[in-house]
Amino acid sequence: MTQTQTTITLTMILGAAISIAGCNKPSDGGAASTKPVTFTSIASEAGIDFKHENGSKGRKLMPETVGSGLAFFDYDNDGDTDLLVINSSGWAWDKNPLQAYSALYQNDGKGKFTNVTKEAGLHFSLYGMGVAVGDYDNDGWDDLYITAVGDNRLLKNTNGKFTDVTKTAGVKGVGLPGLAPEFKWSSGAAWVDYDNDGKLDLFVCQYVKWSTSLDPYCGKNGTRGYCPPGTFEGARNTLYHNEGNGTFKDVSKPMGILDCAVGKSFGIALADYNGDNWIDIAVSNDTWANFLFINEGGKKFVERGVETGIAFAENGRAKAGMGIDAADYKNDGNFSLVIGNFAEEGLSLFDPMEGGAGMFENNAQSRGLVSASLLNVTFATFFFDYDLDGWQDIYATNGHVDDIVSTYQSNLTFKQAPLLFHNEKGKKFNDVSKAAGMNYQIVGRGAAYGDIDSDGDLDIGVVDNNGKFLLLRNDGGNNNSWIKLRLVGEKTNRNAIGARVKVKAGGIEQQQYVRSGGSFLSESERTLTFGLGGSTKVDSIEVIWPGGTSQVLPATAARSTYLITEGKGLEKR
Amino acid sequence: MALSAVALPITYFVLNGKAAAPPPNASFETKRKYYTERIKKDPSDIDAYIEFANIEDREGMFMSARRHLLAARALGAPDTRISPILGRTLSRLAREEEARVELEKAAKLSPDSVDSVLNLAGFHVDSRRIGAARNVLSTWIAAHPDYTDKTGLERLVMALVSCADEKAASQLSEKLLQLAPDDPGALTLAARTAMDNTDAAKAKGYLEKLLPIAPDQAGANYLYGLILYRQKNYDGALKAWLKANQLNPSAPDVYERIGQEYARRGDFKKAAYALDQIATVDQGYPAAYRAARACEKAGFKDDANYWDATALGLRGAFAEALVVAQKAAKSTNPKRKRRALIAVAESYRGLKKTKEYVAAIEEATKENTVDDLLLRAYAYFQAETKETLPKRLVCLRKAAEMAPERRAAISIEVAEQLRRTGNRDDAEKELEAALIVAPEDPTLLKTLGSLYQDRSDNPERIRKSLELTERAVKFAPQDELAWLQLGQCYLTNNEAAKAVQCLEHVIDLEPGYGPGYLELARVYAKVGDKESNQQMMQLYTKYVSFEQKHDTLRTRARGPKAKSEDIQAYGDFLLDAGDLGGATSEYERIIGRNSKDKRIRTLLKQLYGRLGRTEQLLALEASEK
Repeated sequence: MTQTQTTITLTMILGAAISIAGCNKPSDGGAASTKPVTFTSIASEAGIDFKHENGSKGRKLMPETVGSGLAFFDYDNDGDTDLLVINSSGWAWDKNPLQAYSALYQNDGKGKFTNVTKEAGLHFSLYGMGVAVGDYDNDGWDDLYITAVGDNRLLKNTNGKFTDVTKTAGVKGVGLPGLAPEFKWSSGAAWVDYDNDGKLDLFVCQYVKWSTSLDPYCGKNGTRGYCPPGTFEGARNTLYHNEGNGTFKDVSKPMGILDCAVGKSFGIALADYNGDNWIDIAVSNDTWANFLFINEGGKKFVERGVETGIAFAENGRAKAGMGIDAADYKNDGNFSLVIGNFAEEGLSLFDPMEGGAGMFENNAQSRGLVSASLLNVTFATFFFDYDLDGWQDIYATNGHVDDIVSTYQSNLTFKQAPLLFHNEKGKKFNDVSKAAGMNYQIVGRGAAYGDIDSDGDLDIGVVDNNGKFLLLRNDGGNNNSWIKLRLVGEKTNRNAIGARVKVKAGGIEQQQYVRSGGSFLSESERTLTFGLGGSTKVDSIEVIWPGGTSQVLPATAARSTYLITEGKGLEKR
Repeated sequence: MALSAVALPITYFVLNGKAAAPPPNASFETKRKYYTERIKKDPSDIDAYIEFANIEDREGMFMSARRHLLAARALGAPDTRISPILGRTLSRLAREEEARVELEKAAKLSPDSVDSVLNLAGFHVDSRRIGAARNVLSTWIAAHPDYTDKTGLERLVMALVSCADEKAASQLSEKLLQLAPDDPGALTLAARTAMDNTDAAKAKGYLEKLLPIAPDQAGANYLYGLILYRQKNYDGALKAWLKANQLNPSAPDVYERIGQEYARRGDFKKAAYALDQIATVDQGYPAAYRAARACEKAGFKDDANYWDATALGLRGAFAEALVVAQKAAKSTNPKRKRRALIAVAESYRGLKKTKEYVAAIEEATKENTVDDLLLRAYAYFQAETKETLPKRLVCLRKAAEMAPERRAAISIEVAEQLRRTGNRDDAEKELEAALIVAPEDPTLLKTLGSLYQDRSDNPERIRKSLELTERAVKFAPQDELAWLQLGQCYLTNNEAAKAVQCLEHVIDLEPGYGPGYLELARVYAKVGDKESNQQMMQLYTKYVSFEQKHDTLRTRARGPKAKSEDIQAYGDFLLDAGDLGGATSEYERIIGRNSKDKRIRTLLKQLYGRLGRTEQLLALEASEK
């Protein structure tokens, strides 16, 4: 080889090395990537063959419009995100009712899934609604609470196998006066350690007082349709206290959960909304005042939805209120709420009012959420940082409840496309749905996010009511930097639910709660993902554990997952 | 001497730095400016607060009046000056407990004041405490046997009538008559109260004295007719009623009496005409039924069929109504045919046969008059299908072209449909075009302002929304929703002080309107007034609790498995809330299930009496015999 050729070769090698080095690694403190991020539908190729069955046979029974949810969680503790999708089924009283089953999919760590439902002990049929994931017995294995029409189920996880312990635990759900138990209709559920005793308690929503005989004929132009929620009375919610011995006690009455009027509850968003370091519970209600249960030192909840301004729209009317989530999307230390509503209502975005005596105000219009969402019926909605630029974006899955809607409202369709809003540094949201490839039309219900392929960015799972499950892989989100934090409690509950984590990087401070609930009937993965934009490291991490203990951790490199154990340090995974 | 008499008050004002108060006929704005300045100069000027509050109370600015009265009280003003006005103001704000305290205090402190006792009695009547109202009035009257002020006595008689103390009202009106034997007002009151006391002879005497003095009182002629009728002087009665009808052609009671009298005489043609008139206005089952019978007897077959179909429809018997309406629709008279086809359409609508409903309306409205187009548009709206909604727009636009004076109202409907279909840009254009034609229509201004407000993600829309809504309240100052919207506009525009004023006025205008309290609470929170925020929130929470209870009881009562107890609970709730018509409907449902329910029957009889539904009362009483 001549000298020239050697020089050329070296140059090429160096050049390649430089370009490889520069490819997915932004410079320290550099600007966030603005390359477009798209979502690709990969359910089939990922091995997910789930179809939701709502048992509809033309009688138009209301629960058929609602289900169901999903959860991203690590059921086998192998470090990756598995998937549970809840199914409804044929109605038990039908002749030869269709048996449909929820499905648990084990992740191989790279986004390929295997159906392990039977092996895991989850092969049973029920009219499933939603799911909440929590290690209620602090044994290191995430357990499941599944809500349904009929009895709910508590499944205890031991080494990746689930056992139904509902009866002994006493958490099948509380019936309503005059209603047979098979018609009890639970919806959202969330695990929360409301009294900071280190054990996860359980909050369970009920939707409406429903039965087949209470579900009348509703229709348009001679065609039967599904009845609206106004046709039914509301139902109570339930707070179960974890007694620590495998049983739970219904403490709804002494804890003030029953002091307010019954609601038509769907979703739960946990956060400390009034800055007193106790986790509060926001509940979305359908065509009813939304609730905000303020936790008074773990001794009582006082419902303040009306006083805080989240109960109603500006004209005093209750909007639909299905999915709900909370986040500090402005990175200013205050948690806001996003709520999915009906067509012609638009999303709600409740921000704490500046100097506002604990009140919230709906800024959805001024933040750019209303126009795009006006013709949608939004079920699941959640905050997540899809492009990892450090600002929480919004995803909303949509789909009408009435399959004949287009016959009488030409502007509305039964199947609807989802919405993805990009957060413009906390000032405004931009609709980037089309650019992100979210062009599919479904009857969207539960949705959640999780990093299924362990590449740093967040993917999405969506239930299509009576349709095939969607798994949307995030392509390009990890052009920006990130850090993942998984917390383990020692004195506090093992899942660290209720812990607040603050991450400083690139000049901004973000905070997130480790929590259960959010979205609609679904749970996203518990590991926290912080987008870092162009930063290659995190300047500091602070964890405020439930109970108030603070743990400050040093600067650390990005693009890694870390385990933070209470009272101990940071451990790279 | 005269000069000094003038100089003294001037000197007083000059020495005290107070300008003279504006004359009584000055505008409210002038008075507001004057008192605001005065209070600014001297925040301890008790007289200013009280005088201003009195003016505000009369102008309907109750929130502000309350604030000023409380300020005056805090400065040491005696309750004799505060309580009477404050009590009145609080009762207008529907703050019952507080109002009661003040009004009782005022009555106690000024036992000889007729205003105080009338305010207190009026408050009790509004709160449906009739017994308490009677008690208060009778005690005062007994304690003031020498009271002879004519206006005061008239007011006392009216108050006694409103709390159904007929005997006392009659006695007092006779006293009034002794003071003013030829006064038409006194004679009218005396006649009315005598009738209420079923003393027809006395009432007749008063009316025979009144009518020569004031022959053009429709009410007096009507009453006279009733008395003559009872005395079987049918010719006299008919004459009196025809005179009453001539003086007031829009009074339905008179038509009813005339119609029934003609029917009694066998002059069914005239009876049919009268009863047809009232049934067109009344739109209730008894009126439709009577009209049908009269038309039948008069040989007006088509009209009889039309009214029979209407009556059946009102009873929910849509299948039968359809058959009869179809017969009526065979009429060769275009007007009769049209209204019969509409009855056919309504029957189809009751049977939920939308296609046939629309077809019948299309048939009925072939003339394409403005009313035809609007009726067709309504039918298309009711059908609400992909095919009918565009046709609705076509009809509305054509109607607007043909009737520019109705352009504003029609454009609002068009815009609403466009808005609902997501075409907010087109909705704006529609309303903007209508505004050129009707620039002072307050509803149009309000609607377009609201649309801009809904899309207020840019300063230009905020500005336009504010401008239009300011104009809307200028032209419709009593519209609480316009004030609410204006308050919201000011808040969006960061003008919190103005927002507070507007939203307080919403409460002034309609103290029962919950969202007004919610918005006011928000504004108080924004300006950091925590105490006021909490006060408003307490009131709003009460409203919400009421609405939620209403919702729950109604859902239970309307459910497919509703029990009689559920329906009764809802009926009782409506009764307590003052919705007598609503309560009546619920109790009627119970009677339909169990006609022997004594409590419900008693309640129904009372309600029929209070609502003036004589026919139904008589029918219920007859069913007991």
